[in-house]
Amino acid sequence: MTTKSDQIELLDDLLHDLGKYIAFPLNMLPENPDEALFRDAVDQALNRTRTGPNGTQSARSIWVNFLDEAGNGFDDEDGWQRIHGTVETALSWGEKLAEPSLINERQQVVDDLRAVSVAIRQLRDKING
Amino acid sequence: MAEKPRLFLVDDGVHYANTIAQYMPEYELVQVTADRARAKDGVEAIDYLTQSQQPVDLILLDMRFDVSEDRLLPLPEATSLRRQRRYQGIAILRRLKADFGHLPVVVLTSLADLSVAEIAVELQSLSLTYMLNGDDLDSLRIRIHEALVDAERLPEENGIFWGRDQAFRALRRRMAILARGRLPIVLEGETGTGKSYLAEHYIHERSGRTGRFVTVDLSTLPSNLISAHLFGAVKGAYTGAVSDRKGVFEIAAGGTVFIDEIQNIPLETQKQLLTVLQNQVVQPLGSNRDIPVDVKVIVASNEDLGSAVRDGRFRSDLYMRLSPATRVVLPPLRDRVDDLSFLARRLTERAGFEPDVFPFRVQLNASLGLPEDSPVQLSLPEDKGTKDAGIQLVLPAPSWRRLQRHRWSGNIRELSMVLHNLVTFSIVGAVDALESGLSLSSRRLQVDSGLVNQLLAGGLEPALSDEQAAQRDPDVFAIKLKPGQSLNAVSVDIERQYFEQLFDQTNGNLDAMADRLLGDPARSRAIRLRLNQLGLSLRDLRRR
Repeated sequence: MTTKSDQIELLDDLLHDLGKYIAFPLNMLPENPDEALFRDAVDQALNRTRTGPNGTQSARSIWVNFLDEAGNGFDDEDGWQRIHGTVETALSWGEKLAEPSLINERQQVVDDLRAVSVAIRQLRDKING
Repeated sequence: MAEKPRLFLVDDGVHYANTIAQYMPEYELVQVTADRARAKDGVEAIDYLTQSQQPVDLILLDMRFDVSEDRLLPLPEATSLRRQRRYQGIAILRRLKADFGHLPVVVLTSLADLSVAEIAVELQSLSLTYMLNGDDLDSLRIRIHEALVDAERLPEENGIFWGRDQAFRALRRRMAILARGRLPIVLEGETGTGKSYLAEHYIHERSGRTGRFVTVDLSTLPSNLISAHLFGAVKGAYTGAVSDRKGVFEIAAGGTVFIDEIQNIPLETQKQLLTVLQNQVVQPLGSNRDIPVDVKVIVASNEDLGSAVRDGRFRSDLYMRLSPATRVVLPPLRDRVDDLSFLARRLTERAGFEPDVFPFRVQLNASLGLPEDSPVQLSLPEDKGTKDAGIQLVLPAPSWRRLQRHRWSGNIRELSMVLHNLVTFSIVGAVDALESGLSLSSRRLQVDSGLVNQLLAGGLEPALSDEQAAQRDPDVFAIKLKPGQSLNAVSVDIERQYFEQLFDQTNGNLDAMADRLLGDPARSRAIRLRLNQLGLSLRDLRRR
């Protein structure tokens, strides 16, 4: 059984590894990026999400690793399905990466990628009381 | 500073390095290795900064480091390896502050991301340490800019001695921001901490207001005249009102009203003041004419207004209207330990220009062959070498220790008066000697220790005890000397006391002790050995 403090530890890690870095490249873009810059930022957000001592990880691999570690520890928590939903929505932009119209949907992409950390933080704060 | 400020990045990942390289051409990232413009962990960062001669203007520090255990700096309060990594930035920051305290550090995380409240408080209080407000380009730009500007600022500005104390420097930034806003400002602090001076010479000057700065000291006004003084009165409004008088809110139109000792305001006047702040109009006593008010309001108190509210002496609605969120608490001098020598030096120099000292200084300078305008300078035991200008007041080591341990209940005002007296007595004494025919050849004048004792004896509170003094400086320990059968026994006892206190100070962390004593946390075995030699067992130390 996962204790409350274990849950918080896991969510803190997820918040950092996925929540922060999936939005980071888009947050750091200048105000009016050109199409190539924007596309590269989305690619980095989804496919080169974390690059550190352990190499490069994609957002999906971070998420899958998290699910492995978390097991069914969050199944009873309200808000868990919301995290699932927001992560899947964010990851789905990977399928549109090559589409020429991607930059036209810039705001939606930004909103969807930022929503991941919001959903994780909400569940974390709820568990923390 | 180099043409482009040089940023030293400590980060195990590439994101910030890429971002700065790509979007911030105005800065240069320090090249740590041939292929990396960042230090990948704390060990590499400390090594580089210790060994490299390359200039660094600012450090950017990540918080989380997913590096192998042997690359982590000790973090005693982290209870797991996971937490060691998550908060590794704190361990690195502590080392940076200890060894490179002059360098500003921007921590690449926000306070909101730190779930450990005590850690957040510690980070906020570290000198020249800035937390990010959000993970976006503008937040990063603003923080870097702020940190570089702050680091460049002089410790003295327009007669205000900011010094290097972290808390005071943070207030400087805060007051500069509050000065430009519309909200009232509450200044709290003990007497002598500089509230009125800061109100006039810092806040008012930065408010952008062109009207006058008007002070009302409520402790000096009879309570029945406070309303008329603040809001004005028409002829005949009260006994003695022989003509119309303007209140300070009207006199200061377009400027600043500074209400000192606000805690003395009578309850009935509090209601009137609340109305003025709410409606932005003032009605003189005896009149029903509304006069629009356009002033910046600064109030000062030498006690916590929040407790005055709880005691029922101050209206809570007025307190809320005065905006407690903009409350600025000026630290007492005894909490600005690091600034004492700076302040003492500057106040000594300033005293040399006071009208009662000035002619004697000029006379003494002339007789010593110094230029007429040479300053009076304070020479402290910590000084190395001689200074190049002016008369030197040499303060003996015991006197300096007394000054350091004094409680300074009157704060900077008291320090200023003590130094003014020291300068006066020393300079006038020297001039008297000259006039009585003595010939002086040295510009170094020894300060009379007895005079220091006399001047400090007038303080309101006793000096700090050895233990209290030790608590203020982590490198100072209180040791009790006890006679022993041999000198060796005495020195072993001293060393034992030292190790016991260091053990307590580091929460029993031998790595941290090794780090403090040998500069290398990996040498904890040497510490363990020494403890054994001194007859100190870890079990007994932990049980105490």
